[in-house]
Parts: sequence; C-alpha cells; structure tokens
Amino acid sequence: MKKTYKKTSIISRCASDLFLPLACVFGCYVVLHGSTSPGGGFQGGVLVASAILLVYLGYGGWGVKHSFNEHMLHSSETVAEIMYVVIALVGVFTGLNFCVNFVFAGQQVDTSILMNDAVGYHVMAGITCLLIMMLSVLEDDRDETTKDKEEDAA
Amino acid sequence: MSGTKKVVLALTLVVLLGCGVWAGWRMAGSPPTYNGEDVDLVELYENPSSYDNSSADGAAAIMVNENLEKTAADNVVFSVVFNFRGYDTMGESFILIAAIAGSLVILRKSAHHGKKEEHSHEENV
Repeated sequence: MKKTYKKTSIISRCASDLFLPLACVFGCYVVLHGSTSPGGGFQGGVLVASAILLVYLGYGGWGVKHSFNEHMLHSSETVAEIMYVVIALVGVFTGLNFCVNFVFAGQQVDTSILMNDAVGYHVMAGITCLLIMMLSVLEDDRDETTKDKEEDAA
Repeated sequence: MSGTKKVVLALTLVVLLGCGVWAGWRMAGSPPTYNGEDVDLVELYENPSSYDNSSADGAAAIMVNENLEKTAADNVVFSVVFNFRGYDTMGESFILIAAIAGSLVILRKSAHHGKKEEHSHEENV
C-alpha cells in the first residue's frame, strides 16, 4: 500500500481545507494594502506563513514535508532581501537618497510599495522556513519516542 | 588565520572606526535639530485635537508636515518605515535572515544526531 498521510480527525482536516485559502488570501491582502491601511509587509507575511500550521493540523508532518521545499524557501528569502536593496539603491543611482521615491514623482504611487512587497515575501519565506524546522523537530521527537516504546515492548 | 587576512581585517576595522569617528565629529559640530522648546506634552495629552504643531521643530515635524511633498505616500507610518527609515527596515530583515540561518544550523545538527542513532541501532541489530 502506498504510504499516505497519517489519519488525522476529519474535523481538523476539513477545517484546514476551509481556512487555508482564506488565510493565504487575507495575508496577501494585508501585504498588498500595506501602503494605505494598518499592517504592512511584516504582518501580512506572518499571516501567510501561519498557513503552514493549518497544513500541519490537517495532514501532519507528512503533508508539510511533501508540500514545502525548505531550501527553496531559504534561498527565496535571500532573493527578497536582494530585491529590497536593489529597489532602494536605484534611488541613489538616480541622484537622490537611499529608499527615496524616484519613478512616479509627485503622484500618489510610491516605489516603497515594491519594497513593502519585497519585505512581505521575505518574511513569508523566512517564517515558513522557521516553522518547518520546528515542526520537523517535533516529528523527530515523536518518532524516537514511538521507537523507544517499541523497543521496550520487544 | 594567514597574514594577509589579518592585514585586511585590520584595515577594514580601521576604516570603519575612522568613518564612525568622523561622523561623530561632524554631528557634534552641527546645530541640534531638536531642542524641545515648543513642545508642550501636557497640552498634547489633554487636548490632542486642538494641539498646535505648526511651530514644532525637528525631524518629527518634517515627517508630519512635508510628508506628501517628500515621499508622495498618503500613509505617514508607511512613509516613515520605508522612506525616512529605510535603512532600519533593511537591517531588520538582515536580522531575520541571521536568526533563521542560526536556527537552521542548530536544528539541522539535532536531525543528524537522530540519523546517527538510527544507524547505530541497525548495526547493533
């Protein structure tokens, strides 16, 4: 038989299926509207990253391991940081200050919106990576304890 | 550590220290941007809606009064975080990267230990 996820209770699985898209969409909304409303990149990124806990509740460590790539998340964090620094440095190369608005001068549109999105991407990838590591430690502990119990029984 | 590495490290530290000392000397010579003469905290606490902030001085008054001309952002908090204090946000994200890299190192080591124990267990069997 093919190895599938450990059977969790149907209530937590259905709840995670229901709330997972809502959590992702609400987090992206907070990131994208950071320029006009309370919130911003960091808070919205953490909201999106919390979706991994719903995956863990619904499908266990197997689901987390098979739906997220930890190395890609860690490198995309660096990519987001480079995006932030490049967008901020273009202001220096156009003869203005660091982090200054340079494209749409005099309009209600700001280049710091792009920097806000970069920070949101960065926090999203970083906190997801952190949660994956913590959940993997939890899974290891559980495996070891079950093994110990089996050894004791043997 | 080889000799050239030591020389490069010493040169870097000397340059950084020199920049810091020069910046501190320049800042000590410049006039103060904020002396708190026109700020009445009791008045601000009791009647915040009718507080007169037109005569306030310093960087805070610039941020509040000339926000639209300087940054074209309609949210003052947003413009402070990403325009006036952009360096701060950048350092914050670097701190996040460092924290996650550090916890990655620590937690991966424990995962390796678990694998080693598995191997030894198999060998014993």
